[in-house]
Amino acid sequence: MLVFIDGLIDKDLVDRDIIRPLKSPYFDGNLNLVFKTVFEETRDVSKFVEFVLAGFTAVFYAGTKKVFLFEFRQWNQRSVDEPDAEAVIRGPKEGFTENIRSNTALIRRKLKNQRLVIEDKTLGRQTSTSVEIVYIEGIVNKRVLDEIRRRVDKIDTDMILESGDIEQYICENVFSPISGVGLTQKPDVAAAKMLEGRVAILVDGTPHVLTIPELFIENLHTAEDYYSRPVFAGAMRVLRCVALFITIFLPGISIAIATFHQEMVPVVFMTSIVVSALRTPMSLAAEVFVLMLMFELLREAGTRMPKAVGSAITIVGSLIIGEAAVSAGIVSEPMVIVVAITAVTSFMLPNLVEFTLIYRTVFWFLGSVMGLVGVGAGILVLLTQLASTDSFGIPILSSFSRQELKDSIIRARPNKMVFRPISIAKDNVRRRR
Amino acid sequence: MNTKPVITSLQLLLIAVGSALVFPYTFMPILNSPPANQDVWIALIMAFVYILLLNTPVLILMNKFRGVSINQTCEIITGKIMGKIILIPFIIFTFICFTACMLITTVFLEMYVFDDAPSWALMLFMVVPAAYAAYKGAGTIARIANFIVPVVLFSIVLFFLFGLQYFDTQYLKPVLTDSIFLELNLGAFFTAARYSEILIFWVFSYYLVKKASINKTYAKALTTFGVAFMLILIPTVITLGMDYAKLVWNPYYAFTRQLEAFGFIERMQALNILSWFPMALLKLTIYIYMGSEVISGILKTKSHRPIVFPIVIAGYIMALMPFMNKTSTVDMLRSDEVFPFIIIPVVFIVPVIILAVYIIRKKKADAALKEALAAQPDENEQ
Amino acid sequence: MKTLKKALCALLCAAALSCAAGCWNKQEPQDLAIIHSMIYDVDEDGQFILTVEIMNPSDTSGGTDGGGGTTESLIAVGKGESVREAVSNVSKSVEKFVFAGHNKARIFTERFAESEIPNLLDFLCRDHLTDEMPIMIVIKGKTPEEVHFCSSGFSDMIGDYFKDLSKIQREHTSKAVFVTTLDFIKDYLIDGKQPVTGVAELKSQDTPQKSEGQQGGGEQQKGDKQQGGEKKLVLYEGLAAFKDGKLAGFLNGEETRAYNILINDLGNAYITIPSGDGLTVFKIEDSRADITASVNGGDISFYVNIQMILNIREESGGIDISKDQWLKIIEQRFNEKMQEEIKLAIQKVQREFASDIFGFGRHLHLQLPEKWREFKNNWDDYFAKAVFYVTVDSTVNRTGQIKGPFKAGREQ
Repeated sequence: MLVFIDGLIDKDLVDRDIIRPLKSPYFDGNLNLVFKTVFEETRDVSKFVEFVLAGFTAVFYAGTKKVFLFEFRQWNQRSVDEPDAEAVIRGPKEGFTENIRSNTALIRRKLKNQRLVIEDKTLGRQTSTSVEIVYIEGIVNKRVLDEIRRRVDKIDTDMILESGDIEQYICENVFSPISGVGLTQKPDVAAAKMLEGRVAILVDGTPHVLTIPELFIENLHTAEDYYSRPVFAGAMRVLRCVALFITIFLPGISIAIATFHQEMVPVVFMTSIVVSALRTPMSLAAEVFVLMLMFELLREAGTRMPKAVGSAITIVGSLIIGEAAVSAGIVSEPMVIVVAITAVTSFMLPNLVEFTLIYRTVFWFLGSVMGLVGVGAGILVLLTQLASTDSFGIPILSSFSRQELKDSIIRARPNKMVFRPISIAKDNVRRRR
Repeated sequence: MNTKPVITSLQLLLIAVGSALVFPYTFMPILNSPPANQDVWIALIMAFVYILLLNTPVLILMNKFRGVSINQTCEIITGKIMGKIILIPFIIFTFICFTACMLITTVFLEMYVFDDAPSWALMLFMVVPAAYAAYKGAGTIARIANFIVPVVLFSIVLFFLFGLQYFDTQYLKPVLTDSIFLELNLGAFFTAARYSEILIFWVFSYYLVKKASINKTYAKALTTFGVAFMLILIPTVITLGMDYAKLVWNPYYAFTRQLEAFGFIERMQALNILSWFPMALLKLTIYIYMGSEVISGILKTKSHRPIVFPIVIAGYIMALMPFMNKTSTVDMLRSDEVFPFIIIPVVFIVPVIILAVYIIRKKKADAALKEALAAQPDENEQ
Repeated sequence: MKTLKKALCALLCAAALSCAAGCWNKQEPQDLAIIHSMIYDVDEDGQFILTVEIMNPSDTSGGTDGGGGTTESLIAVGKGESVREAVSNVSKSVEKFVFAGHNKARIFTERFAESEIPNLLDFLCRDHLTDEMPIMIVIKGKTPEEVHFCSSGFSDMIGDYFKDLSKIQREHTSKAVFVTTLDFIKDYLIDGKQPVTGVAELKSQDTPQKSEGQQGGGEQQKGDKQQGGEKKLVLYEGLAAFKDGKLAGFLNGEETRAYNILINDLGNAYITIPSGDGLTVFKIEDSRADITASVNGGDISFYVNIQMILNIREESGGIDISKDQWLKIIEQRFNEKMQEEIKLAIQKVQREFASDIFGFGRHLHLQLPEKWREFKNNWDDYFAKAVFYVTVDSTVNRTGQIKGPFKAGREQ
């Protein structure tokens, strides 16, 4: 008797390796000769249930008290494709899929290293999701690894459907805008991070892989920085830093200057602001808030809607609504420009969307209430929060010491990248001779 | 995580330089110290010699007692009870400096930006972020300084470059003819007596990475501070002229008011505020932290956190007292007659006493030091 | 629960702070009346009269274009016992907050300049919204308010006019000075130099003056500002000399040029000398004044040696300036003329103003500091009695694109 779940098995293999040998004329009742590809034999009922649920084929043979389990699994899954959120121009375009085994295979192809360790866990009482912790023995930071194991083992919940569920359980402070846990969809990125002493957590059913720990500066890095040459890579990183500053500070600072420190605005521009402001009913701060809200609405709508309608929203939203709002006298042009620049720069940093959103609003508020003094105080609070956040024991702002600076805001040439990030890979720091 | 924070030498350097630069950035007391004429830059150069002299006792103590905190140092040398008592001037000093800095910053803001806002609101606005940062501890403060202070240094260089077209070196002449040597020395001494950054070194060096050299860091900090101070002082004097610079409350701010960049950006003093204000708040944070750290060492509490709020509230109330919240009081506090005499006892006199006691009880103290160092958890386990 | 409590605390703090710190000192841009220039006057009773020129942005296209229409100005007057009160009283006729942060020019009447400028400077330096960037101008004449209704080059507002003049004409003119408030303050506070300011004058258009400040009197559309009848021109030439902060007198264009030469701040200067039946026109490319002070007992004398490099722009007197010996003759003529001009300027200042606006005291201080201590207290009196030896040494180094005199090129 065969027990399997239809849809999870490879029917051809079952036919070839189970049914045909059993039906063959040479079968004489000796199962060991026939079942050459058996995975396991067991008498344990719960194990039998677990494996069948995982897609194994169980074979009961009359006369034997054990069940034979065969791993002939096949199901429909998405093919290995370029991830939509981490596009690169240069570099491998493979991305993880929803199948944990193919994901580990992708990693194994990058790291043909006998010290690559994959620890298997099952989480979620109802879903029994397979979760794997992957690291390189000898390079990994042992303290971080122990902490990860401790926190993951504490998870006791109904379902784990996505790596985000795990992230929310193991991160330091769930309400903080910065989680300290990195995310990637690309195997080469995951492999590079493991080579720096980090740990990757793969979850079955999602292509998003967690990398722990994560320093803040990594939100500004892309894989392409390492494949391009140093000058260009450095310039791009600096550009992203500038984009980060602009997207967080521009609304706040522009309101602060326009309402508290007008003497700084050149008179010609001041004329333009005054003329625009005269025509609109709202205060500048309110205008910026309305525009930021509109931008968030458009962005969310653009993400959710079907791709066919996407371009229509772009035209309707940005051109017509923006233009019409200005003509109708609802908002003023200088503020539209400010929020437009903020919006464009926020797209350069996809990993920091929630972080920049929260802080942009905070600085908008401070700038409109206390001017540049408020922005200054806000800078201190922002830095304090960032500086005091740890990612599993490693401060997330710790990439600015002299040794690590060469891989933070700039990217030094490969000859100089002798050491791994010293805050993470404490034990095995030297990368090359 | 309850591990001991680790500070790199660069971060310690930046903390000290940033904290020291707040005074020149704000009100540049050196302009009114003797000789109060165009030779002020010579007095500044001489001041560094005096700073080195005044800081020597603490430097010696730090080098000898590397690896133990300031409380432990005093206890090892002077005994358990005296060790606590001898740190009381230190605590009073941090409290006074915290209150004075808060007042100076508030006066500055009220004069230039917020003349309608009440003092208590401004002070509350300053004290809350400072308390929050101090609450988080030494590692956080170091990482914050890693960002804020380079921005401050960069802004100094930027203002210097924008101001090049306004410089007129004739305001620095004639050199050395209007001042007498004694005046220059006196001015240098008073200027040197304002800088208590060595105490920041003393408190934070406990967290410094093992292999960093305190002396090298100190030398680099002094050099950076010197260069930055020159870049602040010289443009101010040669753009505003010595007489007007002496007259104004905030000379560097007045200097940045004159600047014009790229032909269309004028009156960029608001950028001055944007780069100065976080640094001023950080200085407040550092004082709060130093005070709470030392008090927690005296009371042997597990961490400095419970003590942050009492200090902050006490300082806030003190600063709002009617007799404190006047420009004339602030002027008196920051003048040559008062401020140096608050600093010198703590920077020089108390350490000299401790050093003297150490030399007398050398053998005992060395043994106790060895014991204390051995009792600490091994850093490699972290 | 703990983080929730923390978050609530933080939110409460923020709300309290925002209400507490409030929106003091916050000004929406449309609530501002932006001042571009101020005219300070004082009448016989000691009342201060302040005439401010406020930008009045008008939306010309009123629709899709929005900002950037032509700006007209609103003139408002305030009177008060003190300058600060006068500023507040301007708001009797202006409903917006009078904002002096963009002020470009401070214009003083002669009456005001004779006594009140140091007091004004005290107010300006104390107040946080006023700063030291606007340029200082004394306006001649009895009816200075007329200046707002004069044609002022390409600008609609007089503040913009003066500001642009100082930015653009600084290098192109030598017969005017452009003095910011900071320059005035520096000169006022330092021993050994007295401050100066620029001078503006209103001249009616039917008698055009040949001077460098003139913007050829063509038709200029002013819209509302036209009062009917002839519009006057604003001319900016010369300087006003001060002694201890009080107006001492005026220098004309040529004397101001001498002043600029002596303080080494010469823009473009064109000197014309008659030559034969035509003219020689020199352009001063570079000018350096070396001043040496010498003290003999109680007698102070200054040796002023001015080195100039010249460029000949016109030689219509028929002299062949490509030859060296002719050049020397021309240079000699130039030297004599300039020496005379500079000497006369210095003497006029000595006799009429008795105020060292050239900064000779500073030179004495720099060169002979011990002697300076004796003189510094009444320096202006000593200045008035000092003896000046002026020598001008010039070299022509370029003579233009043609080789010989133009008239010689014509075939007879």
